[in-house]
Amino acid sequence: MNPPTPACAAPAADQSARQASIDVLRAVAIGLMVVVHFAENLAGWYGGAGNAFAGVHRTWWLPTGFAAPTFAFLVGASYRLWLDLQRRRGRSEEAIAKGTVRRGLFLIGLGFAFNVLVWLPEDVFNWDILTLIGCGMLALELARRMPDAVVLFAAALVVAVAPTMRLLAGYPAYWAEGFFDYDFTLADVTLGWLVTGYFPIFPWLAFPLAGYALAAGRAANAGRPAGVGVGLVASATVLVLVWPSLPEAVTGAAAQPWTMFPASTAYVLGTLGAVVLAEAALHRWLDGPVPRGRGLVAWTAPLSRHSLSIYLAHHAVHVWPLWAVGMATAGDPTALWQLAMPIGWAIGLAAVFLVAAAAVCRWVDRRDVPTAESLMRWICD
Amino acid sequence: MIAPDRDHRPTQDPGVGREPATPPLGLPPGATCTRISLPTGEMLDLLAVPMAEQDPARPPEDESARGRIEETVRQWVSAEAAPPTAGVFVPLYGCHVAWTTHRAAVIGPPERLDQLAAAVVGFAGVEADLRAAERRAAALLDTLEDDVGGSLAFEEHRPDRRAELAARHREAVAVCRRLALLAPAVHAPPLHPPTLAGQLGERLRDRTRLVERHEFATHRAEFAERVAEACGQRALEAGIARRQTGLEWAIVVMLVVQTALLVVELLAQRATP
Repeated sequence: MNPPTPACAAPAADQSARQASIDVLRAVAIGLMVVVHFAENLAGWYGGAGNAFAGVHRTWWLPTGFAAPTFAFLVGASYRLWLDLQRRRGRSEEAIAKGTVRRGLFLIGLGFAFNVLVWLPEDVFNWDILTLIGCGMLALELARRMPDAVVLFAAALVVAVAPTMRLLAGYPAYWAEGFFDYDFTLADVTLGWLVTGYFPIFPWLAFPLAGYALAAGRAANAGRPAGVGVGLVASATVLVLVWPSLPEAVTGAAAQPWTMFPASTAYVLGTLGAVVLAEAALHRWLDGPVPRGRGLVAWTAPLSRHSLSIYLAHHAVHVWPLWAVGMATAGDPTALWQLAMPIGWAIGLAAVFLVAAAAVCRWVDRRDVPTAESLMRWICD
Repeated sequence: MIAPDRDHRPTQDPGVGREPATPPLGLPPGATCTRISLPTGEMLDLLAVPMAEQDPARPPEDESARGRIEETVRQWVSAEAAPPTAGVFVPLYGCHVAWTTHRAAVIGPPERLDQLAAAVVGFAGVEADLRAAERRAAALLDTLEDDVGGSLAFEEHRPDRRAELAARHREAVAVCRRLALLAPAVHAPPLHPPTLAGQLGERLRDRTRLVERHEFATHRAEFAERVAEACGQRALEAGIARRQTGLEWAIVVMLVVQTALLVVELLAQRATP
């Protein structure tokens, strides 16, 4: 069995390059991620879709479907801020390239290790969000050498060809009972990375690329991309409305217009537009010359700073006990998976985890305790 | 923003506007003070003191009174002296002329005062223009190093920087043009037969080193113009190269995506789902 993991932590930008809007948005994404994972893995609850095993093209509870796009988009935006800061500090292009590639490889390696340790060895190549972000960092290393218009063109191309790739690859054949199922062959593993995994390059790479390109001039409070967000949301709405009449090259033979697995074109455009709009609104509200929402920022910034650690920890605290108790009681580590408790209890535990995580992150900041982020910086910078 | 340039017409009255001003105390009746607006916008207070020519035959008391008046005028003019040009005091054929950047005075027989005043105002207009050009040329030199550094930063896409370089080049050209227009007035040969006004103009030009200053300012402005043009050219080339690079990257992106499509198609045939 292969539980989905639709969100993860993004490598945070340098402390002095942080902007409150990005921290708040990332903290919101963390909240959504924790709730959906606890609800799915402990209670088998998929929100509005009703049926937990509705098949490959199931509709996901909408708010939870925004967490992964938000994380992926903020990876690109944070990278742009970090890159601008490094250049202002006079860091050489070679040093920036090395740091970026090391971070990308670190996240890919961490993603594989995470898959083995949390989802057990048979899911090592499920192509989760950590590997996507690692690949995204490597892609951003190339993207930063391109003009922004070309980066946006690349993002659009990645979205546009994804349905065709799914048709070519036979996407539904890789998804059994709503989960990615592959063989340990070069073809299956490569196809999982490109098209059929949980977070394949096509079309998910579009999020970090768009985040990077749309963050241009953001540090100088210029070039608000709110218009782009409105355009994307409008495009997604039109796609949803005319979905039945669209060719397979656009729909990828999907019956429903709004699906996260696979990430339909309408879903990608809609979530991207929503994230862009949310980010633009928060930027306008929080990043102005007059500090606003200090209380909100004080609690969300630590969560954002330690988003990678929270991503790793929240899986460990709710999935490992499932494996341990299942193994002890039924001899099968997945015996209690999605059956452990009612949805109310699962959401309550998610809330408890979030409060505890916020408190622990503030304590970690005060005590300067080593975290996954500090380990990444120690290795990569 | 580049200041609007003006043609210099040495034959034209450089005093654009005139208005009466209060002369200092201790001067004989008939002394007048006029505030003149020069073409650069600066104001020049011109004091005209009618007084008979020096005559050794006159009683010493009269000559002493003349000396006091000259001293008063000298102090009044010097009170507004400002760098880079210190006060200039020229005795000429029984007349006295004092000049600083904001004040000038002519002392002489009433029938010669108008000629002297016209010569002083003409000179003051040229000098003020030259001084403004010197300031602009010096300001251009101050920004040269940043401009050169910025024009060589090919990695950065800075449209605002290109606009700055273009503005700097326009400014350098404008200063060169201004100095070129000033050249006839600065290098004007002595008139023949010599006149009082002509000789006064020559002496003022000599004492204020107008020719050398014009030469130095021209040299600076031309240097700045050459560098600004080179910087602008480099920035332009970088912009063109960037556009070409963008096109190349777009082609690379399309090739990569096409390759990915081919790989997916090939792998899908070999896959065992």
